[in-house]
Amino acid sequence: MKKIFNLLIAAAVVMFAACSDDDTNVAPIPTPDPEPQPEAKTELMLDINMPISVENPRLKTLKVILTDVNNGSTTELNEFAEAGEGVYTLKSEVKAGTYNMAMNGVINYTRDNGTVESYVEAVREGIQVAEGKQTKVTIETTVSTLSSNDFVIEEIFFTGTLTPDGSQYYGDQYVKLTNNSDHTLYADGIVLMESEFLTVSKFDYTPDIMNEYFTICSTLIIPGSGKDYPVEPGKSIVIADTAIDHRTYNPKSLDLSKADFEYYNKLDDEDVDNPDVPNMISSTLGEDMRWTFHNRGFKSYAIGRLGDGVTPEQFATDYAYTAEYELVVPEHGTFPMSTDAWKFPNKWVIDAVNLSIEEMFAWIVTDPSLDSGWSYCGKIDRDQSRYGKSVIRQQVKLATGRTILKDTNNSTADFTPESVPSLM
Amino acid sequence: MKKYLCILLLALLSVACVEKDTDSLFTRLTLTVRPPQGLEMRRFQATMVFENINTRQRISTSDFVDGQLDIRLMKGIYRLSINEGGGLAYTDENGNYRFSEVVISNDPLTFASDRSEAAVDLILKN
Amino acid sequence: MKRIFITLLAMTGIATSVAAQTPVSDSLRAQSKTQLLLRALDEQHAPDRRMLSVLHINPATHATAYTLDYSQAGAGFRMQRNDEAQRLALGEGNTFGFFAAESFRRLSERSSVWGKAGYQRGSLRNVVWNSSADYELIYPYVTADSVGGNLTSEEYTFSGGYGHQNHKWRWALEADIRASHEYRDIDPRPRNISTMLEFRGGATLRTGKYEAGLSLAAKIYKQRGDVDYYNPQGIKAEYHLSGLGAHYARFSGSDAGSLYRGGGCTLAATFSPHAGEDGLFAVASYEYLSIEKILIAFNNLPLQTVAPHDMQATLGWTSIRNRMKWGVNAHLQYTYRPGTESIVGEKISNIYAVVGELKMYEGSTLRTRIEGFLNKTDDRLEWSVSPWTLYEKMTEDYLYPVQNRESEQFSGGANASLTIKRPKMHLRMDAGLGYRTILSHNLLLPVADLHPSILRMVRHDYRRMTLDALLCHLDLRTDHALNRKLNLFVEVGGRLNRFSDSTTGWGVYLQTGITF
Repeated sequence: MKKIFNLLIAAAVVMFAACSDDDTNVAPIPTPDPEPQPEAKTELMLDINMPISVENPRLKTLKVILTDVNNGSTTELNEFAEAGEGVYTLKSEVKAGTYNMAMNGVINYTRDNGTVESYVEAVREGIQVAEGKQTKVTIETTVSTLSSNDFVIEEIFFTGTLTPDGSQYYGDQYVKLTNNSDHTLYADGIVLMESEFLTVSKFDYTPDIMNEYFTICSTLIIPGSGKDYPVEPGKSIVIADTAIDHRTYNPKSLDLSKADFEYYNKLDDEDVDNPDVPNMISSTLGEDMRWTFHNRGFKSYAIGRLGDGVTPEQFATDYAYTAEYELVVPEHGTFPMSTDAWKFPNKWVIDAVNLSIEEMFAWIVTDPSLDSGWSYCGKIDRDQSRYGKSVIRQQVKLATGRTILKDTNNSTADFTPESVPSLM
Repeated sequence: MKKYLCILLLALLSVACVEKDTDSLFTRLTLTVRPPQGLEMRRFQATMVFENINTRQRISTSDFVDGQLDIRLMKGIYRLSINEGGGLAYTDENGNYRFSEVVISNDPLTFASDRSEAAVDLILKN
Repeated sequence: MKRIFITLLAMTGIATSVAAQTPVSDSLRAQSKTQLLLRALDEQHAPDRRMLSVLHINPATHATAYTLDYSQAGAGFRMQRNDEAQRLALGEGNTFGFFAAESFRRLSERSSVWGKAGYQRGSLRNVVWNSSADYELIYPYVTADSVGGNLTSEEYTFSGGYGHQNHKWRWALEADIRASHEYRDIDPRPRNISTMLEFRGGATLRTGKYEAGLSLAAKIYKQRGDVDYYNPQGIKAEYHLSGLGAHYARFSGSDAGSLYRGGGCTLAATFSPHAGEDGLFAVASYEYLSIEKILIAFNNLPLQTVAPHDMQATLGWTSIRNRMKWGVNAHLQYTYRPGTESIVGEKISNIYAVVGELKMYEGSTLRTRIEGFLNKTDDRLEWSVSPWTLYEKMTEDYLYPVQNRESEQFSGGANASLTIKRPKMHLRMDAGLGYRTILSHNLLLPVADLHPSILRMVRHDYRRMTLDALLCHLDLRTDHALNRKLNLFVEVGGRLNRFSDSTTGWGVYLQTGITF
């Protein structure tokens, strides 16, 4: 009996001594130190490479924010030194740990015998700084080319609003297009399109034509003979679902009575026609169909122009096609499905914006060359907070002093999600 | 009987401290970017973002050497993207040096083994 | 479920009434039924029986746990309140009304039956970060939101067993069933229905004055739940937690249905003196359980699996042949709780492919308890003192990004009881005092990478688990003979925990019923 109890005590002692966790994953149990010592620091060196896409780039200012992942504290660093042609270094003493880095800087480069100023950004996550060992990280900076020679979609207000008693209100959605060029453009014939496919449901569609066409379910076309609707540089036009002052019916809505164009469906008893606002042409909508914005943000939108000599009626007939896919229902089988749609050639597309939500995002429904990202209002399906918000394209100031809308064909970077609608 | 009790105690001791194996969570990925056909890569300068579709974690890196990158990632399914401005310096069919911004496909890639290799095609932006 | 419960309860009643008509030994018949009932009550509460109840993991030892028949049925009420929840997911307290019945009957010298039935209904207060049921069983793979609220809860339990013995062998079979239903009537509206079935079989072989035994048990578990919102404006996000501050981000959002299902087995070895003898006792057991979480709304996608391994060993000695009884035991428990997450691929054609698995979570708990008792009993008075000490070390790790939470605690205390015995009445008082002190603790979280509201939840629970605490309880029970065959009992009790940050938690209960 005595032996067994002795063994039990010995076992307990051995067990407590033997239980050691992996040192790299567990911080040591803190023990009080009578004389606090300064924390040991290690050198972190950032090598910053200038963009190769521009001539003679020089770093003008730099701001690097290091965030300690474990406690959230931040350190800001600004001082850098030139380390060679097109290379700059930034050195700092930091304590060992894991850091996220966000870098913003301004560079000057030569273009057309003049000096151009541009912004550069970079992020890196999970930089491991080991104690006593210099850590070196190379950062490549790039300068994006901003497109500014045509119309762009500036804003899509698709969520609609809520009434004071919390019900959904329809009809106050709109799209704003802006002339992003430096000369007058005409809005006549601009086609506003809505995608057939949802960004939250991916299927292997046959035929797979995305690298050549944008598959759409409906279009609205700005009327006109070609010179009826001029838009000056930097100016915008608004295409409203219903061009009325919605505040009459819903105090939390907005006034669209001054919209430039509206959608009107004469077969819909509830639709209202503002006689002062020209109606969009809907060539691809069937008589029993209605243009609606997907208010949860599952669809993508684009603008374009029909090819030379292609009328809306011809487009509606010549560019119709059927996309086939398979729907798999577990325990029930695979079901062949199809959907009728239209294919809009990518080369006719002026601008495209993918919309989705983080919870359910599956794919972008445009070719990456049209838009490689997506924007959103709301992060989860049926998000309570999405109403009364829109996606708005960011503004950038060019070296010439002109302010344009940012268009890098990446809606993730180009748009500010969940913004207050500009017309509210 | 006492002998069996001792053996039981020792067995409990042996499993009392389980070491954490984290290496098996990661894959060592070699990613190669391929220029469009007919173009010769001179330099690829871009920040590649790996977004883990399941965890939503994003890892950014620009450590490409001759269009190839070695990176340690947690095993998973990733959507790759190139940060704005990233591009390719190349020699075209006529021998001219050019630079063009690029994008890549949005289709996710799965890295579920200890060692992974993948190649992505660069698409020149117009 | 109610129909099954009532049927099983009726069967217990039938078994009991059948048992009541079977012959018992002459010496026992000589005593009045009242005295036998009170003696049976003493036997149920005897500290040596309580210490040896660890052997009942083998149903064969349960079959000979008591020498006297005993049945009890009662109804009551219990309430718990905490100034601050120890774990946000478990709420700030609860209020329950309950009915409970239990019975142990020796059908003959060779066989016995036993059973329990229970029903409770009540509410759990302010449960946040937990939209699932059976939190401690399915942890860390809980569906949760930051809103929470009160939950209505009801639970049915039923267990029964039968044992048989000859001069050398004993064998027994047992079955348990537990079914629960939890829900909330305001947004967010979780609704969870869970069932646990367990079947056990065991045998012992007598060798001299000792018995050695083996038992095997199998468990089946299922829980179905979802969270609805009736608000037409939409929802708040539900998170599929993965351990500490992590969650499976891809599927956070609406929860249109989660299914937990799994099962396990337990193997146990027991060694004990034959009933009524002094001597060494020992128990060793190993339990394996595996519970998988499946997202029904995503085409039955298996998302996460938790598979705890539980190992326990107890070694002790009881001396019960004299009026002054004593006993001492040491109990060791180690639980290793690994959690695995699926690598879910693209959703194509409505199907999510699982392309791999990663073990991302590891939890372990080491618990060592040493306790003893000293008990003296005669026809008029019984007293006992039971000191105890407990050491516990808990460690949790989420492997990437690295997170760690651990604590080490030591507690000790003593319970004392006094029973005043009269021919037709017993009054029992039981009081206990203890103190828990935290020896060490640590929390490591990648603050910059975690969702802020989940981070707050983890920090809150860590702060609560690293508090020292003073623990005390007091229970009173009185049994009165109503007639020769029936006793009435009233039981009341309370506990108070006082934490080192001056917050308290308290609980009270009241139960009344009959024994027969």
